[in-house]
Amino acid sequence: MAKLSNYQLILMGTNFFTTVFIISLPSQIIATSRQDAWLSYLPAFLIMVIPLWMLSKVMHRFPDQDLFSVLKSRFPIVGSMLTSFYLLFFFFILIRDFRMFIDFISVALLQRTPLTVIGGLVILTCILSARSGVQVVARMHELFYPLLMLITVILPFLFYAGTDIRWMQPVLAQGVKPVLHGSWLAVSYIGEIIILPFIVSNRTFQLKQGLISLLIGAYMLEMLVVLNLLVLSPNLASRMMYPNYELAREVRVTEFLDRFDSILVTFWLPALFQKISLMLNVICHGIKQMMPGVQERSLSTSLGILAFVCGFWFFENPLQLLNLNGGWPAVALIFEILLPLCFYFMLKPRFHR
Amino acid sequence: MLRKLRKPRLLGAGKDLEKTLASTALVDTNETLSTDIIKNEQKLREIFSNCFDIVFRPITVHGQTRMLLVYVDGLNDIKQLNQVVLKPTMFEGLPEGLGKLERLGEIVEQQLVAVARTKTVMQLSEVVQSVLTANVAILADGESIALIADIKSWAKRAVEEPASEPVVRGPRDGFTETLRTNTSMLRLKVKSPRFKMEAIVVGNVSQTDIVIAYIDGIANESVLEEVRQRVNRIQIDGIIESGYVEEFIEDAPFSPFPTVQNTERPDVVAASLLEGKVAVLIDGTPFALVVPFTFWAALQSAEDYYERFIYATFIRWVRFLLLNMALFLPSLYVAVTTFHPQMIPTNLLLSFAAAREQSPFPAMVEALIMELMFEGLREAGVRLPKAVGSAVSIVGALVIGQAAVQAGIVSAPMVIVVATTGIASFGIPRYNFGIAYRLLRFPMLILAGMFGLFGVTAGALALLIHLVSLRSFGIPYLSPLAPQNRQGIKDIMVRMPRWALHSRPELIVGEDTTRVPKGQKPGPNRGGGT
Repeated sequence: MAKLSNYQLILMGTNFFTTVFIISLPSQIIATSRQDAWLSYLPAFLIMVIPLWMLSKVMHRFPDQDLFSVLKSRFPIVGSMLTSFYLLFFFFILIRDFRMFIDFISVALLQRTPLTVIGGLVILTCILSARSGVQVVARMHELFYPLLMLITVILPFLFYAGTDIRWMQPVLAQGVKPVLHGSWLAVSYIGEIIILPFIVSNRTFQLKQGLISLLIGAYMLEMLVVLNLLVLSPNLASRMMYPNYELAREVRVTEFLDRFDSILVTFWLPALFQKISLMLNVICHGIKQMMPGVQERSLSTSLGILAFVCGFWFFENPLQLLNLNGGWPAVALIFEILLPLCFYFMLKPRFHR
Repeated sequence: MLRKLRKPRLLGAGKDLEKTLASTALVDTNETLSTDIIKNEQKLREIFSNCFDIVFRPITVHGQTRMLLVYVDGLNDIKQLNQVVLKPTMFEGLPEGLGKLERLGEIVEQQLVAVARTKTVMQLSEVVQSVLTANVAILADGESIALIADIKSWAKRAVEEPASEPVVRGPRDGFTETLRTNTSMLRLKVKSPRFKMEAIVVGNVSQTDIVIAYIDGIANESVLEEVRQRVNRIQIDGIIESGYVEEFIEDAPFSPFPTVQNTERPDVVAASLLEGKVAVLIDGTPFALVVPFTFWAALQSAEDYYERFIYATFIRWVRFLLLNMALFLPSLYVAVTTFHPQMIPTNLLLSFAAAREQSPFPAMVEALIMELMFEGLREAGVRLPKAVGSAVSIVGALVIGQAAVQAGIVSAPMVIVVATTGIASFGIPRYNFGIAYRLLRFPMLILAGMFGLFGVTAGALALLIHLVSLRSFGIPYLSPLAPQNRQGIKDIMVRMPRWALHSRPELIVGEDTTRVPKGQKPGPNRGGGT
């Protein structure tokens, strides 16, 4: 089990649900909620506090164990099945994120490079990171993620002259239903934060770390969606594949430097690499819990290659990824809310007389 | 938890030594000296056959007692030998009424031989080794002991400012090739009984003396023990330079980044010892090794701590910028001009396009050619005599650069980029660290040429992954930034004032963590005064 500091865990938790979220999901949320898209995030964040609280209680009952080992030790057969389901769930998220990442790179940066070549480079880098262990991934988060957070703080000042508050008015003009529809789209991505108790034991993971991660992530996502609305407007932002990238392209820092997006992408890409690496690492850790004889390092190479293949097999084009976001919450919420609820009521230490 | 410290050994003696001599099958390590001086002389002459520099000086005291001096010509102070050994024994002889012949050794040692450091030995192997380590062996007929007198003296280089680490402000002394001189220089800087120096002999043939220096209570015990183990594990025929030892004790032999620091400056070593690091000094080289070594230590110069903190902080930022330029400037230029020309402002883009119009090569090939030429020029400049070196390198660089541009082989912006990169690489304080960046520039160029900015990002990420996973004697290479330590961060990008650096680096230090007590910020006197 990994020994991570609280600071590292907070950064990893925040990174886990923000970096992929901001690729193309905001455009779908803005398309449904329009000028009230900024309200859509709030219910999603509030809902996710509950499973975090429940999981922290479960971890408290089983000191010095992560959730994989808790499931296996408490209910060997059912626990192994649940672990397998969670591993498949995480693996699917890995494939989705990988494919979304390379599609973005292909569209925004390397239009003429074959997708397989981009994918190969990405997965190679992620395998290299994953093989080094979760502590290395955690330290990488310490290096990159604070810079990304700083950029999010600075961004509003860069757009000071280009915003129009009228794009966010009138509030709740279409009622609450579109806002809740937007929340439905957002909650599955934000719910990925439940991966934290699978990485560390209760000594590192407390509800406080989860809440701080949620809070920081909430600020970052809210800031970006508000800027999307104020700068691009709901009409434009909802029609863009990558609204946040287009938002970054709108940054003008003097006449000399008017392509600030590349600099922003330079800080964002490593964070995305780290999310994929972390996911790979967690899946390897879970498989090792089920099959102790397996070597984690060699497993990460095999799984990475499998993810590379599945990324092209499962999704033919980026539009399929966008369509996935509509129905995916129905599956994700089983793992992110329903199962944690079951764990809270059923995962208790054996009573020894 | 206290560990039993290894007893420091007298230089020039030790069990490893005996093993070495035994392994060469010249000397039986168990063989003791005979009471017959002729037999002893015969054996020593056999061992030292064909060694023209070994001197056998027989003397007779009072016409009856035969003594033999054995020493290496050129390694001892002949004047002192004449004054304190030969003259008293030959002309003054034994004082009358001092007793029996068996006490000759004691008498000679205490009363007639006025040498600061002496010892008596009984094994033939110890006599051999003592002679080879620049001592004088004095044997007497009828005695099965030999007196070893330390009157070392040989031609040494004077203490000079280190050529590889000059400073504008700071001490101008540097280590020399003599271990004793180096240890004495350190002792002058750290006048504490807690400053320990443990001696080890390494090298089956060269018998090189190595000293492990540390400050008891400040040095990290686990690091210290690790250093001891690694140095003691070395099995080699000879140690000529500290680089030999470095390659045996480093953590990642295949990493381009060094995990062991080397320095010629005693002030740097002393400062490192005060931070809790461990130093390894090797006889025969002025380069001492200091461990553990982190990424941030590579960006620090001795001068950072002698100048005021504002200037030191500014210089660190400049150095960090130069470091990134040395690695990324050529690859960023190639990436931007090849894949992302829309990033460049229009006027500049037109200039680049006009300059590159005549060049037949792609930007990546151009950059590789120029970088390789620059590396060749740099290497050639090291070998040239000083008188012509600088002139040839400057003129050669100018002529080659200018001629290549005019011939249309390379573009002028590329020459500027390569020259700027070269200047930036000279800004890295540690030479061995700069080599790593010079090496990594080439794969980064290739990635930039193939994948543009994305390739540069992936390459930078792979590099960072490697740095993050690297350790130096158990200490993470990027600490205290990753893993983060707030106290340690005070001395990375910003050099906090001396009075604010209260603690030693947390991961390196041992028990004594307080460096500067709080409340020493300078200011005008409070209360009273006009």
